[in-house]
Amino acid sequence: MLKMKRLVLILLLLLGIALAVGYYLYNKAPASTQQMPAVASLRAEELFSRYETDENTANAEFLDKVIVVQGTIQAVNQDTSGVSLTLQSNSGMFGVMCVLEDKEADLNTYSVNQEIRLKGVCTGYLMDVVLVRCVPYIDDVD
Amino acid sequence: MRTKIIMTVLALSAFSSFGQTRYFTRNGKITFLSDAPLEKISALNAQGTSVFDAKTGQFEFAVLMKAFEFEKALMMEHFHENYAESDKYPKSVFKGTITDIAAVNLAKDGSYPVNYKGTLNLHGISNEVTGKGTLSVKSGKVVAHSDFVIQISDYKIEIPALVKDKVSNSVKITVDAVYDKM
Repeated sequence: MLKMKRLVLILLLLLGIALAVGYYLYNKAPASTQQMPAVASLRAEELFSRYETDENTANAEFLDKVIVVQGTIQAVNQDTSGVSLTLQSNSGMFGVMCVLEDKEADLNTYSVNQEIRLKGVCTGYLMDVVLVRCVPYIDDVD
Repeated sequence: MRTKIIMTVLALSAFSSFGQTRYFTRNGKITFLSDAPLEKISALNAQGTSVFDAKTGQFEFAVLMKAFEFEKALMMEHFHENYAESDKYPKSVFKGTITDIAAVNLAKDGSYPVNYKGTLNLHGISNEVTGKGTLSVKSGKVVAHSDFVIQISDYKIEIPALVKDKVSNSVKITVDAVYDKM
């Protein structure tokens, strides 16, 4: 009888753990880009011209991949949805738009003409190449 | 796509005798909401690009599917892999016309109700969409707001029977954009 009780208790405990793990996995937020290794590292001008030249090939290489991009800030934009930095390309009007993972990023950290390296997830090309969930890239993190 | 947008811009500019009537944004917001009995799923994309011509009422709105942000990693994964197939169809484009643009005076601050119709291309399928929205003018900027409901089965997106209480077939799409003069 005692054995039975213990067995039931252990089973309930296991069930509880399974439910907790399931619940945790189910509700897990998207992983921070900080913890994801980058598959490529290039300048914003190059990334943009790769997309401008051949969007499909560039998508095959970069779409949904974590990449490090280095460039010069052309514009800083903040609105209710967060902060984005547009890095210069050779096209003049358009560039590489990098949406920061930190929605409350301190705007004073970024200024136009500043040289910067960011790591983010490439989502493709409209008029700008768009990277989301960007974090400042520091060499020794990877 | 780029060529398409540039061509649209050129086509739009051909309609206007002066370069003063075109508006543009690269931070247009699209949210969608699937409100099923067991689960609400919503996502935001704040990097929509849009051009509209105040004279003809023609507009175009484009978003990258992968730029939709979700609260939960699992929802994001399922959205891209099982429903939107974002690798195959990386963009969604809405092309349309504000049919009563003549009633809007963009030179005067105020809020104007408008009607529009157009074609939404999503998941590689195009369907006609009509809706109502508002254009608000405030110190040279034009703010557009609208929402409409689509049936995702119209876009050949199937919901497996197993999750039909979690994923709704009608999805509400909300658009908010602040346009600058080009």
